[in-house]
Amino acid sequence: MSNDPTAPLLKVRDLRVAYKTDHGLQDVVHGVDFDVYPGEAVGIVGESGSGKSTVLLAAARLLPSNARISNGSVQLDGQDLATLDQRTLRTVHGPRIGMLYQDSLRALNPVMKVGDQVSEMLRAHGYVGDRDEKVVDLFRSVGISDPEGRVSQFPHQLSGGMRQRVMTALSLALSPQLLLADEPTTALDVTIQAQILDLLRHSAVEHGTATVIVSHDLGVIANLCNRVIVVYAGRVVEQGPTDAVFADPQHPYTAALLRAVPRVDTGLHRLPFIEGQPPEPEAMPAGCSFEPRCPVSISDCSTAVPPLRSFGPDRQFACIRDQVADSVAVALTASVETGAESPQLNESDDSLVVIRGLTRSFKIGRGRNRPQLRAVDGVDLEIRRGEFLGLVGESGCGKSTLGRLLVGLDKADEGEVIFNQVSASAGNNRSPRQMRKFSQMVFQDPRSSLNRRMSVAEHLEEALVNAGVERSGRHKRLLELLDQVGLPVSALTRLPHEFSGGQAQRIAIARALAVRPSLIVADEAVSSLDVSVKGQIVNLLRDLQQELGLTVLFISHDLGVVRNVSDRVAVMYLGRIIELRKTDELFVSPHHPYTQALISAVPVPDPVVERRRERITLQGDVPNPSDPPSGCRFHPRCPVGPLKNPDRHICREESPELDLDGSAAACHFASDFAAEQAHGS
Amino acid sequence: MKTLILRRLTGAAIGLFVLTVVTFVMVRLLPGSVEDVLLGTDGATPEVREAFRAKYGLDDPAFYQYTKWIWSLLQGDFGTSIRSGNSVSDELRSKAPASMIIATLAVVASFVFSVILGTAAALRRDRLVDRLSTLASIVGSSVPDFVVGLLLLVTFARRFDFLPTFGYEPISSGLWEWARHLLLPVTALSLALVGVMTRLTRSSVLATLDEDHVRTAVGKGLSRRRILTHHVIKPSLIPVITTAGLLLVAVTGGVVVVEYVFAIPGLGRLILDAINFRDYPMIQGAVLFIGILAIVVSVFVDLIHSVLDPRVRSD
Repeated sequence: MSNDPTAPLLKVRDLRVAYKTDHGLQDVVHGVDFDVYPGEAVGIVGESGSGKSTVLLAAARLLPSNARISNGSVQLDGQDLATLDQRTLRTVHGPRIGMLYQDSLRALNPVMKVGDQVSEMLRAHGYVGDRDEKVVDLFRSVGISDPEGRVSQFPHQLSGGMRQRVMTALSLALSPQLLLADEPTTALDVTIQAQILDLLRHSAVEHGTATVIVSHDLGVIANLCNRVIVVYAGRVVEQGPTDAVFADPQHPYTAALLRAVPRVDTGLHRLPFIEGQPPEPEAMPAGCSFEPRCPVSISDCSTAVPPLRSFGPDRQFACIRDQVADSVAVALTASVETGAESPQLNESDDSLVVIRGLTRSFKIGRGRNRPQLRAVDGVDLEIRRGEFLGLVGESGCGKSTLGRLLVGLDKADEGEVIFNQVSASAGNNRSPRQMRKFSQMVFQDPRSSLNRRMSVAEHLEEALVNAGVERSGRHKRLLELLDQVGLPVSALTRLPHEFSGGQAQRIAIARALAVRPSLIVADEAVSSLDVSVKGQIVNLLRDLQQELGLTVLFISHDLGVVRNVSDRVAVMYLGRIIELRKTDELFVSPHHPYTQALISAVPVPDPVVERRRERITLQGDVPNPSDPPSGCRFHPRCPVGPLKNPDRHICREESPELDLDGSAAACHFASDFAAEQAHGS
Repeated sequence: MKTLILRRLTGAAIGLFVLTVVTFVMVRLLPGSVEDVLLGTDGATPEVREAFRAKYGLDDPAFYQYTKWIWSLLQGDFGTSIRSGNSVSDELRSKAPASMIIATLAVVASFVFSVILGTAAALRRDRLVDRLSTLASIVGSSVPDFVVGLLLLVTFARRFDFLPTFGYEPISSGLWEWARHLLLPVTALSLALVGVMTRLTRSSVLATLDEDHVRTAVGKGLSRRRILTHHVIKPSLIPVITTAGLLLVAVTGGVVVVEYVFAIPGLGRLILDAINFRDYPMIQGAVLFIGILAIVVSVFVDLIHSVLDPRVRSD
């Protein structure tokens, strides 16, 4: 083993990976080169289908059985892994390469105790010493509380954050030279993500491990990595130090991507996006794969694949043009500014929907005394006519349940919803069918919320029949709907799976519009879309809101998107709304400590800001919603509550009200908190 | 765990109650009657028939008969067979063990074979082993068990005079005799079971192989054997065990044909004879016995289930 810090630890050269398909082998990674030096953290960033995870799995020789390395070498400390036999490979996996995956629930064996899953690895590599003790130590080192108790639990008994800590302990158990992490925080809530990012940063340093992190999230990369590799359609398009690449990107794609990321620290009212979508592996352009979407392409771009060329001593990019990236960024910014200058902030007090004391609880488990989970717990909320209201919160906070109650997909236990001055209370419910003429939902995954055997025309026609549109008027209305969501007439005869994710979401929106609803509830409607297309759908919703006078309730865990499109934002925590204010005010000076922690936990795609920013890392997990804490539900995690100020008994005893005329935050110390903040900054 | 057992017992009680009602009604809906069979349709005078019915309480109102049956059941009395005059419990005691042993051995043996064969097929997907095992499964489950039974008989018992052609010897007459008599019927019965369970194991293992946690196990540098046993086979067994339990119950009461072929005095024949004879108490008792067996087996399967799958336990 060499300890020369100037020699690369991992050297990937001309890596090509092909997948078996019905039409033979299909290349998805087309010759990737990169180096990883000892102790550094390298980020591989790209959108879905770019091949970023495939590169990582190929480097670890953990590709699925239908994929294989067709060419190239992966040298770890001079040893080529690409051609290594299985027996030798086993000695590499664990002591030399540690793996960290995205979905810890699926990546851990469901029928084996988590302690055993670490311990069996120690044994397989001949660990001498007390394995049980070592596992407990490892668990403690990754911040697992009560490690002695946890080792004998099964994965499903742990929270997502705890499971990811177990995965981390597993990946670092044998202090590998190299840690390969595939979207290590993507499935986590932001406050938990912040904890895991801290953990990864410190553990890697502690174990002297070099890290390669694959992520679609430029913020995570900016937070964690000193070098970044940008991949597009199976090729590296740019690489270099994170600071330099983020500050001064050279490739038009990098520049556009950086501009398209909805940032939590800047507010626009629309999102920039890149026209079109990435090429399919079977239809790769002959030249530069970004050329069809590139705003600055010239005719030479489509003749040959541009080679990586050097830019300064430690940077490379693959574009035949010089100094064009800036203009791409400028154009993209301009597109947003001209698109919606001075958005009509809806100041009207005219309420479209008034929600009073709305409660929905679910019984969980079995038995007579089974606990009740109050997913939505006495929510009061007014949605103003024509506004774009963002609803944010972490998983399990009840935001989706609230959305479902508003479209009649679920029934409240208590409280009432008044639409346009017509009440739908818990006891005297308007029929869900009637409710759906008024409000419609757009779901997260258009592919599964559309029937895969029904054409677009059939989907829309069904909705129109439901809306009571006469046969004679249907075709005209159908074309109108297509036009409103920006789909061509030729889309009518096609099936949902023939569309990309973004296009399919347009179909779902058209279907929702068919009944001419007043309210659209968009539940994580852009969360599964790539950054470069996310803006297309968000802006469409925004346009529809303005053109048709729609009211939009935009439910999302993505604070960056919410910041950039909403007029007002409501923050939910454990079934309650804890802050509700105008977007810019809320993001610039949050009044509730939870809101502040939430915002500060979101990494922004700017390494300089990431280093400087003071992050409030919340301790622990979100409490069990079936047994919420007394008083203020946030008090056990609150950075200004009784944890820090023991004299603040009121937090434990009394539940704070959301005072809409005053602070607009449900916190006993909201005004103090706001003042402290103003003072501090 | 305590609530689980309590819940199972309540469910079992309700299930058994429903079973008694259904059996009781069904038996009485059978055309013909026990006196027709015993006394003939034209020979006996109406008076003789009346006396016969009165003797066995068959002239009582149906509800009274039912409550009487249930009352004696609760005291552990299954009633008396009209045909043989023996108590139903004695009949069951003499006939049921053979069937239960044959069924259990067949299910256990085919389970072991299926897991090996199914796993091998999944690991060598679309290769020779897989294709052969697929073919064998289809043949095994489509050829009727009596045909297999007869073939085995002709080959091993008749031609080579190696194994006995018929009958059942209790284990008390010696292990060797016992096993010799069981070998052919168990084999005949197993073939179809192996077919079903091999396919199930194969698809279950294939599904597990695709799961992320198997990739994690490979990425930990574990040995191939360890990955197979702990990370692939163990989670794959869960659906196979459930099916094995269901098959066990189905096979115990349903091996009539194999019992006939090998002339084994078992539960299937007992029931069939009882039905032909309209021996009401015997039919009711035997069906109830199988019902109890089904419940015991399913509780047992659930226990194995909860050992294998911790996610079931915490419910």
